[in-house]
Amino acid sequence: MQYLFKGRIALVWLGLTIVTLISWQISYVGRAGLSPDLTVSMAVIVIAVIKARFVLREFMEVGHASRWLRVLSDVWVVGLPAAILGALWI
Amino acid sequence: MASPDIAASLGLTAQEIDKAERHEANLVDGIWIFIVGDLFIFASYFVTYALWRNWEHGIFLAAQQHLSLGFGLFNTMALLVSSWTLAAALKAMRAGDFDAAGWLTLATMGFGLVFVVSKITEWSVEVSHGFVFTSNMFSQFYFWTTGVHILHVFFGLLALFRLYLEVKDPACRNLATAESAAAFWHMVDLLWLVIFALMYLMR
Repeated sequence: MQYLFKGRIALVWLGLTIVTLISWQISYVGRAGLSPDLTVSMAVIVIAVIKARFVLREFMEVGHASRWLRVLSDVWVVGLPAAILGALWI
Repeated sequence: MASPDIAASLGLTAQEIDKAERHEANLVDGIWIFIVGDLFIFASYFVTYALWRNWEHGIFLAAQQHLSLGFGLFNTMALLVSSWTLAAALKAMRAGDFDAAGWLTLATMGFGLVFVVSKITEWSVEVSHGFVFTSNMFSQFYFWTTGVHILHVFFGLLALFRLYLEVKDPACRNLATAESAAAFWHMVDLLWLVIFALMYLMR
């Protein structure tokens, strides 16, 4: 299927997969402990929103959409982890 | 849309430039208002979850042990692959190769169904181990959020089925509809990426 390898989509998918495995590994190592680990939590949340931005920009094609959409999606990508980490820290 | 020079530097195809121009001409595009609204509604769930997690950290960590990281990873991969095949379907459609677009849309639906079956199996295993909606605050967030998410998956599958029918019928083909269905499906994938981090991976 030539279309699977057209443009950057295969590369983006591969990157998303590798980063998913990394965040799974980060969490798996600390799974046995029953005490909170803010470093692991921060790492997996930041990785998740970076992945979300790639899905928005590359798969949803927000990268070349209208300005309000680019700005609002970036507000979401930056605001969500900030609000979550703030809520965890309060 | 910016100047042709910028479009060329981004490596956009003629159809992608056309889409960008349609976005510029129609700033208040219905599907995008829905998607942005949905993203912010889910964001409010996620922040509320984080607050409760802070207040009841011990309960949340202990309850989280009932979830299978393996299931979580498998479900994530199923949706990531589905997003890839759907992005390829859109490229095929723009190239006028509707046979390939049809097969790639079917493959996307197949991976979506794999997600549904896997998620329902995972819920069954959890419930059989006594982990149910009313077990604790974590389980309430977990079943509610993943339940609302799977509802989105069902609607996404319906949109993809409609897209498949349109691709197969030359009289009904409409690139704007295809782009809307694809954007909705990718949003479903995107939301799962955050749910996976919050419910399964956080410590």
